[in-house]
Amino acid sequence: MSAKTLFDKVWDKHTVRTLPNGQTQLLIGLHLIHEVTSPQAFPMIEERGLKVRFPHRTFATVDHIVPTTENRGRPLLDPLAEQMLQHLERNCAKHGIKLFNLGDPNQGIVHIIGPELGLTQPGMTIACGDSHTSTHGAFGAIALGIGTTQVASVLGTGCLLLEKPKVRQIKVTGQLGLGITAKDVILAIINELGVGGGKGYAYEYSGRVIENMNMEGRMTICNMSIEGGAQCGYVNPDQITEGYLLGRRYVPKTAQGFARARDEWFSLTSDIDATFDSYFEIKGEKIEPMMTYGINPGESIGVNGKIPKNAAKEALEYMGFAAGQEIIGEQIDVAFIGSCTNGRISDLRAAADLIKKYGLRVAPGVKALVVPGSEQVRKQAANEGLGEIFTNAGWEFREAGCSMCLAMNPDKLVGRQLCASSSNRNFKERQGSPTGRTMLMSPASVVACAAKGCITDIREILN
Amino acid sequence: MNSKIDHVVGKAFYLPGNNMDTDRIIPARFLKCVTFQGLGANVFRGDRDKLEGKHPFDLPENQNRSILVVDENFGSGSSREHAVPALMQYGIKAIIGLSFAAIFRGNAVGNGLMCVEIDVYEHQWLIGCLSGQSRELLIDLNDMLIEEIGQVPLPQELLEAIPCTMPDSHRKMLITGEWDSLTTALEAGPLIEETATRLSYMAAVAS
Repeated sequence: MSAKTLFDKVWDKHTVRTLPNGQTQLLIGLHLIHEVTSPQAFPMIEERGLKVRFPHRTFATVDHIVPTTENRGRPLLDPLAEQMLQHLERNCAKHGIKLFNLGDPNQGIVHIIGPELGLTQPGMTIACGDSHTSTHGAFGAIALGIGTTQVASVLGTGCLLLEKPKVRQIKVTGQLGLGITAKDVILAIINELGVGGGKGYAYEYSGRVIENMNMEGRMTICNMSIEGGAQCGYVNPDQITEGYLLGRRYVPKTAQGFARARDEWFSLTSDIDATFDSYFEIKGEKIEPMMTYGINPGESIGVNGKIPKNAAKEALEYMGFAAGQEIIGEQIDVAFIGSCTNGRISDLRAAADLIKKYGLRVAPGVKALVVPGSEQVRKQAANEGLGEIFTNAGWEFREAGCSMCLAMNPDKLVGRQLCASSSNRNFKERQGSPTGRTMLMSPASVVACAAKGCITDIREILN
Repeated sequence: MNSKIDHVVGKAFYLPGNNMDTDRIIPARFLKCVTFQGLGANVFRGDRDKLEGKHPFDLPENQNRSILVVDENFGSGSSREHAVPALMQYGIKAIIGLSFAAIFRGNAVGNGLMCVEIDVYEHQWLIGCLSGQSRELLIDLNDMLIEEIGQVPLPQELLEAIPCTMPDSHRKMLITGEWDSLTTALEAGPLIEETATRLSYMAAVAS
């Protein structure tokens, strides 16, 4: 038998059939849905008289449109948001789908709660009408972001029709320097390979840096695979994966059942002699605190660097920056920690630790938000006293949701505000103001920038 | 079965810019909806508002043109399918580009919106031909060629046929009219259940 990657093995296990046109009909073992991309999908199956094929493998939550202030009682103040939520509630009730609704202790961003509940497991195929579904690949799953027509296909048939992507191994060797996080790693990778560089590929992340990284860091990396144009990203499951999953709500509860699942997970890892269609290596030691200066996640530099001479004119015009200028010292207006990229408990712990250890208060004139990715994260953070650390230091500590990542809820930039953001996209208008500006960076860098009121090298604080 | 789409005829216009993400095609503020209706009016809304009538989608000469020529990695970012109906409701029937983001291209074929790729040299040539000119094109998926149709002679060199590509599966889906993937997936019948039964985790019951 020839050597295989995890991707090959999981793909083969879930292959229903190969179509005459060359596509694979792939069974989707876990379907996650939310209020933005599912309302149009349910009528698509209902008008054909179909039911949800695997309702017990379909889970829903509400995240994009929810307010993150305490005022999130029903009906929601925004009638359009309320309408979307009602559609989700009705569709879930009608089709027997478990919904982690507003007010549920497990509500949160879909890509945070999947892993948190142990729904996400190695060896699964996972789909969600949301591009950041790639997050779940951190567990060694094939996790695909899909459009609404495909959501309907998964609802009605349990399947997707797909071209099998190639696999590129991305090795992050050595170790990371002081103050460097998973976010810096993935921003550096996207910078090197380009936002379209992953076209036609699944990314397998490996190397010592990834092996030593906790699950939440791996999730940050896989989360942004899509920003590199890859179809998905994954990490082979190991003891760290196993340790994270043990005891979570939807993993096998008995010792025997868990051991059986674990053995199966480990049997799916890429074979030692597996070959890849492409290979890329990056040295951990060389990665700096990364910041974007432009309007896509590939337009980034090390915090002490200068904006490239050949930077895109459109990006410079929108951001108000000049080619060749430094970004350090640029005044910020807003600081945001949260999103499916960096809204997990370890992100909040790291941020709170920095604030406490170095006495970092939010600088005057900066609006600073910490938005937990889920109610569980919020509760955990509150119990550990992190919420208090944030609020005492001038941060607003909010309720769970997508918040300022994408401007479908009340959290938005105003005018040309510049936001130091731990989210995943710096597209024009992404944070809600048609002229608002986003600089993507790690949560640690966001804390540093919030404290100084300007773009800052986190290492200056740490040293 | 949907209608067969083996060609598109229409006048073409150019929208410059690499990595045109779906947030730009349809900003998030227009996603607060439970249908795909009424999106066309707000396609590229943010960019159009800033250019005050000078955006390619607002130029008078581009009205009723149905073939859009774009640059690299068109439709990157968010998986929002809304971007496809927004373009189609505006009147776009086909897009010619250097490359497309994967999710966008999948969404497009699922709605019968044709996306074809051409190489960089011919892309430049095509853009040059479109500059200041009204050109009616035929994109023919049978021979995978883009040709100029309509009145000749033209003041410039006549546009020659340009070879174009798209994933073979997408091509077959469009020309046979089988681009409704849900119907195709259903045809697998009991194979779906058989595959699910092989997977131990699929038996887990929600609690």
